[in-house]
Amino acid sequence: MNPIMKIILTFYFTLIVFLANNWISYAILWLLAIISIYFSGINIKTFFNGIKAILFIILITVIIQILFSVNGNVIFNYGPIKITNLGIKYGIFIFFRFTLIVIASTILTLSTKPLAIAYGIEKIMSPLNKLHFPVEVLSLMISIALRFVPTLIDEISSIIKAQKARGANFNNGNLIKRANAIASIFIPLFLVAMNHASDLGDAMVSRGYKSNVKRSQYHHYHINHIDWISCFTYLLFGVLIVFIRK
Amino acid sequence: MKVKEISFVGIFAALLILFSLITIPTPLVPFTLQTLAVLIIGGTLRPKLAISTVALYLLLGFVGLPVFAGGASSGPASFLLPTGGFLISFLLEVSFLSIMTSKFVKYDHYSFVYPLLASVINLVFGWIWFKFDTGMTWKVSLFTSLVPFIIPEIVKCVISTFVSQKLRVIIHNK
Repeated sequence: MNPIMKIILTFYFTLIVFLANNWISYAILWLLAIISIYFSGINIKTFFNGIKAILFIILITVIIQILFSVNGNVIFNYGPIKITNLGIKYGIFIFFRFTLIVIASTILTLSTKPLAIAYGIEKIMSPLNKLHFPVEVLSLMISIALRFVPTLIDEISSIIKAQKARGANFNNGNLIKRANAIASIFIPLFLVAMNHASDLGDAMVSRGYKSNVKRSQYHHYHINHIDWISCFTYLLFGVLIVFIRK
Repeated sequence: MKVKEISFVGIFAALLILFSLITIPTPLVPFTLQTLAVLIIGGTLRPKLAISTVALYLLLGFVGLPVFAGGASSGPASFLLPTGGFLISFLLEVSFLSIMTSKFVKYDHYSFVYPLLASVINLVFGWIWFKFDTGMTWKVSLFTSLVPFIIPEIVKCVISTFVSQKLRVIIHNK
């Protein structure tokens, strides 16, 4: 699928999730999410590993919501904790809402290469060029940021090894001791990053880079029939939700 | 923006992403290096570069790339969650810190105060956001979203002051 279409559909999905307000509309959204996961071809195991961490935060939010809600018939009461039927219902709705939004953005990131996402962002934001917003510069910065994460991971592991060889201890000791050991990684790491940035800047200048010049793309993404089918499916589900919501 | 500034913003955003992915397991509250990286960037870079770096980072997270703390899935949802206030206030935090510290090349004995004030901005904004997002009382939200972070935040302020001080001297001498 075209990355532009994917990003737009992800945002569209996030919007229609906020329209849902009863059980049937949430069921329809879950159906759409399951269809999307199935057709994205992502391994289910990889998918759940991706959302595990944030599911925990969502669950805590929901539990707090249920414990401290005030409306509805009280089912359980202990001190300041009041569990009501409406509290449980809205808690589940909030859980659905955030989980669905997380699923949508996880599908986007697991099925799209980072550079394709950068391309999509650039194209979507290109109307801002008319307002003299440097969209191309932004896209270049995104590409640099994503490109340099693996490089810096390599650097950090060699810095950690070098500091360990000099006797730094990262795994033992109290918080202050560990913080001290970690600080010994930061200064070399930031310096390495600065050197990379400086070298990259020089390399770009020496190759005649100029911002805001019309430039061709290495990868081309076309909008094909799959994009239109998914676009139509999402629109259809959106209309359904609008009709079903109370 | 100059070409070198573009590469600086890109690579420091990469650094910020990297730090966010590192979590040191401690009991109760996860000690992430995300806020520390924001403090160091604010204390080291000029306001224009520091603010652009953090804004770029937040944009990447907003679009859905897994760049926020602990490598958790991002997207617009992470700004709507109760912890979203902490993310948005990174911009305020880094603006304040970089504007305050850009006036000095060498830090004095009070330089610890600026990151501390910047952290206070971040924590208080995050706390108020948390309160309204969850609908808890002020007191309950204070003890869930602010109090557990005070000691780690002070440790981060100490480290960031130390690191930024060294880095600023190195940048100035280059």
